[in-house]
Amino acid sequence: MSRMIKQILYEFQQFYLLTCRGLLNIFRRPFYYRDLMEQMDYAGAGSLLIILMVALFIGMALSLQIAAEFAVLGLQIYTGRVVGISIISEIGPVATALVFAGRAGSGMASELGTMVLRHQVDTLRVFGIDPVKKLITPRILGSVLMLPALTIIADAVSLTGGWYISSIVNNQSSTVYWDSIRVIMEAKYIISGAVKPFVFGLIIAGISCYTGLSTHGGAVGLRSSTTRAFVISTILIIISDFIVTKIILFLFGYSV
Amino acid sequence: MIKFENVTFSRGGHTVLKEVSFFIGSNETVAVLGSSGEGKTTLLRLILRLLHPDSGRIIIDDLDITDLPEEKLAPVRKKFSIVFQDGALFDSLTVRENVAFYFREFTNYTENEIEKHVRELLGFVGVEEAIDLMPEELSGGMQRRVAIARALATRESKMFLYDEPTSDLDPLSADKICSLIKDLDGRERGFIVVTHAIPDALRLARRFMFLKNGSILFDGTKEQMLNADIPELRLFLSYWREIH
Repeated sequence: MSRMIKQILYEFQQFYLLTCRGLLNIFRRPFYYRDLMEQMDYAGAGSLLIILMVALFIGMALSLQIAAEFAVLGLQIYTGRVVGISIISEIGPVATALVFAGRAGSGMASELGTMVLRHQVDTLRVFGIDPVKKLITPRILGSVLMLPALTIIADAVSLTGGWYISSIVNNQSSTVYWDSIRVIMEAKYIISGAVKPFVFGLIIAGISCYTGLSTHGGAVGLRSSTTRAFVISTILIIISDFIVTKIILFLFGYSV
Repeated sequence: MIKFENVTFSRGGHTVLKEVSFFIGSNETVAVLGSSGEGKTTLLRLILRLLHPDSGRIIIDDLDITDLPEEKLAPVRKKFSIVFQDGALFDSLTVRENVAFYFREFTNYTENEIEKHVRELLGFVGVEEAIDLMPEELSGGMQRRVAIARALATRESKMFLYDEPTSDLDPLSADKICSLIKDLDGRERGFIVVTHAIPDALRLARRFMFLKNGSILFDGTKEQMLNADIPELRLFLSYWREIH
């Protein structure tokens, strides 16, 4: 048992050190702009379509469920408000991050794992190139920049999906729906939704890069790394979502 | 150039190398022989300090690199060029970009100069026609020739390290690789070739080491090796002798 705890602590330390080195390298030469652009394209543009699809249906499902419950109470005019708060501060960032972890995070882990197994990382080291700077920093930076952008797009698409159900299917007023969303555009919701994607992006890229670089044991090891990257990212996204929400609510004076 | 002093390395509770000691000069051509899993590749990785030994000292050009931190190892590693068993070409780059990689990272060459050097190197290894292909489109032999071209780009290296350069190749491709390594032999750079292919080793090297159970059981010339009275070495060579 103590051995397992030691192993977990060791891995956490290694992950922490790798992520810190990856982040600090942003300020050190040389800068690998081309690698950064490639990673932003892979993680951002590559994930866009799947995130749009997921976001659209989440918005529609949420609106449908809330409208059905509120209809019983005669509160349909609040559908937009509840959908807005849920999506902007909570569901939007979390759902986008989970899809991002499954698509881009797993891809990073498997790509880096393959590079380790095929000695490509060793080749970089023999060339005198720091693999953390060349491989990890562009991935971390790419994720931290692209996940917030994707989250904003996903939020917009989700809200549009919610509007479609509320206004077109349930015949509620479009003006009321969008107005109720405009009303809830308060700092506590906006900040909550804006901060989380940066934290999630860092977690996903850090975990995926760490599991990818620590791959060993051939195809089975690669499978394990990819699975670990997604599972650990998912768990940490959920946990950090709770922590960030708690901190932001505390900062805005909520005593929950 | 390379000095090992009682180097021991273990992995997962298994001792891969046991108190290994030797010296290899920069112009020597050395073949490290042994069956699979005897620690031949580990030896190469230790020379480059891609692995850290449990005990002993690794000295490169009078510099003890045993405990040197990663950031100070770059100049030491640049003294070597390595061709890994599978070529280790970068999957996401074309053949041109793989060979140009070093020029782009470490020189101020213009695009035209890089193109000229890349074509020169690919021409030398005989795969210029593959310049626009991706690594997965190449055969195993071609991948290794491109890897040799990429390794040649690092002009400051003093020694080549080849990890099983002919394994899994058909006889014709293996012959081409051996000819290429032989051609490079005259370029004032020594090499260490790690292999279990005895004919290739005999063709390429002038000094031979035999690894068994993590120890160097033999270190000497071809004649000394063929006449050595070491049972493990005789057994290893007997398979080759039977065929020939």
